[in-house]
Amino acid sequence: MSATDSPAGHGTTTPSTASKRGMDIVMLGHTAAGKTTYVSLMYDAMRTGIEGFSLRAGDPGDHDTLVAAAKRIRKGHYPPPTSQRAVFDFVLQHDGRDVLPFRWRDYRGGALTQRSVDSPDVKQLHQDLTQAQGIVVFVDSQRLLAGAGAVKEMRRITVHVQRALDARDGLVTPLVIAFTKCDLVDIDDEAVQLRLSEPFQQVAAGAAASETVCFAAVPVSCGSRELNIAVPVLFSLLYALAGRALELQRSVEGKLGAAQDAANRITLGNSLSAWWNGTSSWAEISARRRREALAEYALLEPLLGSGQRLEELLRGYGWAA
Amino acid sequence: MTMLGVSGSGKTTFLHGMYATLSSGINGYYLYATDPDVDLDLAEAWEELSLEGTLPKPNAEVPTPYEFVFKYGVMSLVEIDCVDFRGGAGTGRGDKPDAPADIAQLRSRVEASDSIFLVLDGQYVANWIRNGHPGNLNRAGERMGIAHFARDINLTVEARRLKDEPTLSLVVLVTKSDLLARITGLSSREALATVAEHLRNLVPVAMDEGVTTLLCPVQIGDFGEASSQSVDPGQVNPKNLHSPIIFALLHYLSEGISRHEQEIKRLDQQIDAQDEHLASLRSGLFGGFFKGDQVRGTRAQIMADKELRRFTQEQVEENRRRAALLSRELRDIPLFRNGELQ
Repeated sequence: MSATDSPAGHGTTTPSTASKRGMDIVMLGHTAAGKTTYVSLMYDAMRTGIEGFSLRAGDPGDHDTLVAAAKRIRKGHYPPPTSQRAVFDFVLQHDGRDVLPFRWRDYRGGALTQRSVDSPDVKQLHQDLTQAQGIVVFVDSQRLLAGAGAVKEMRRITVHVQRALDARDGLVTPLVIAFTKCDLVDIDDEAVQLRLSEPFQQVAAGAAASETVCFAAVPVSCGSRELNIAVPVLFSLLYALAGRALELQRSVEGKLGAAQDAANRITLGNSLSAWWNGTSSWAEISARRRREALAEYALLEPLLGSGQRLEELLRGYGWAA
Repeated sequence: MTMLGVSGSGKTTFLHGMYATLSSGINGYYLYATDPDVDLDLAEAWEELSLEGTLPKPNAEVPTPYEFVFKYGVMSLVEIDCVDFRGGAGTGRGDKPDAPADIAQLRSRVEASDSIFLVLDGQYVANWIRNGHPGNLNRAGERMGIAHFARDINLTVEARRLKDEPTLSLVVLVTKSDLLARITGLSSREALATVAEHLRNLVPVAMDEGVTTLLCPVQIGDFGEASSQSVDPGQVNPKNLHSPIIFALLHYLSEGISRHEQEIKRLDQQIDAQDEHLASLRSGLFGGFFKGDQVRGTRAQIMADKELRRFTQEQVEENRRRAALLSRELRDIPLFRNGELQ
């Protein structure tokens, strides 16, 4: 009996095209929450790197735009509210080596409070959220402390977050609440912390009880005294790395299982008939699956190393379990 | 889930308040509309009430459908399909050629519902208490439409019984519950106890065999006998708005537990019978000979049934844990099963 190149049994899982392209992180936040300011300063801080971890922009145009914007922000010229959706392709690097590509999606804040019939980018936001692999919510601390209107806005955000988490269907998902403009509030005051976290307590408690949602609430300042600029992105990427490593591990195990299945079917008769018919024998299929598994393991190994280093880095700052 | 109630009983207002409460999260429970645009519609309607005091307008003849997801933490518990009908759809005559389409739609929906919320205006319930909580309410003069709705509920109970479907959960939802104390002169607790004691007079179907009923007073605020268009937004004070949906889910889970336990019993009997069959195949000096296929087949079937039993048992235990959590939310709210106060 000759064999085809699709042995049954163990699935030969290959990492999805989406994961090869990288992780999709969606930024959520109302107008003037500081999303655009954050992405500029975050990129500027990360391009020079923190303890070996750095970012590079996939598009040189994005690099120039973000660096120029960061310079202006540091001179006190904050960007106007985003008028349209923006997508940045970044690559996380470790010790100068590409580790993980990811896509950072920015939306104008108004998209959160409009209907999908009002604007195509609202519909796009709803769609992107259901496909997001990480969510970073930006909350203007000063505005939240100032009035009930902001609490209403937070309700809308948590509805979006809950819907997005359901779409993840049990996959590991980092969720970061970034409280921006923390230099403008007394963030060390426990009462202030309580009031800021109150709209997110239900989500935070749910995430704490969940095995798949990795939650962090991070005070951030993009003002004269920059605070925790890199934490939201690095926290998201840590779990993206973990998810990618898990995916690769499953793929390696699947291929090794398929190799073993094929090996169990090796017979002299099969080898001879495959040779005679010019098809793949089970021995050849088994060897091929083993080579594929090794190739994927070669991808997995550096991810594990970088993931561990990133975890240590974040733990050092108090942001990883 | 279907809400029944006459025009002005507060169905839509309850729905808006319930959504506002649960979509912000309460005690770990959470509800969201699957369509983000619907979330905005509901939130804006609630804002109009809580900021401007504007009550929702009566519904049009075209019913409004809603799809919700009910969660505990980040774990989805159940998807809820709800339709908001105008009050007249439940009390109108559907047998005329020119009858509005929503009358027939409502009837078919009631028949397919796992849970029915019978919405009674607290003002009329309070008057019923004040009048000595009589039974046999006059169908013509009674302003809550109970007799109309009872007929549909009865048909549903009977249909579910004949199809061996889980029993119906019924919420007797007393809206504007601030009026119970205000009109009767009793405390809220006493007024509720009176309704519970005489529920058979008010809503006989609630005490029928095959019906599990929650008597749930709810309020959006302490508005008193407000106009039908507006209220004082300063008096917004929601109470119990999440309880009916918690009860509906609790009942759904409880019925599921009962069904799963029956399934476990059936599997146990099946496994015992297969064990006996396996023993008989192997019996005798030459019993095992030439019966290898049968023995292997029976063994595989036993393994599969044991696996299914283990899975079902896990489901039962998980649902029991969830039911225990839900029950805590319904303390002090009267619950009846087959006419007995639980």
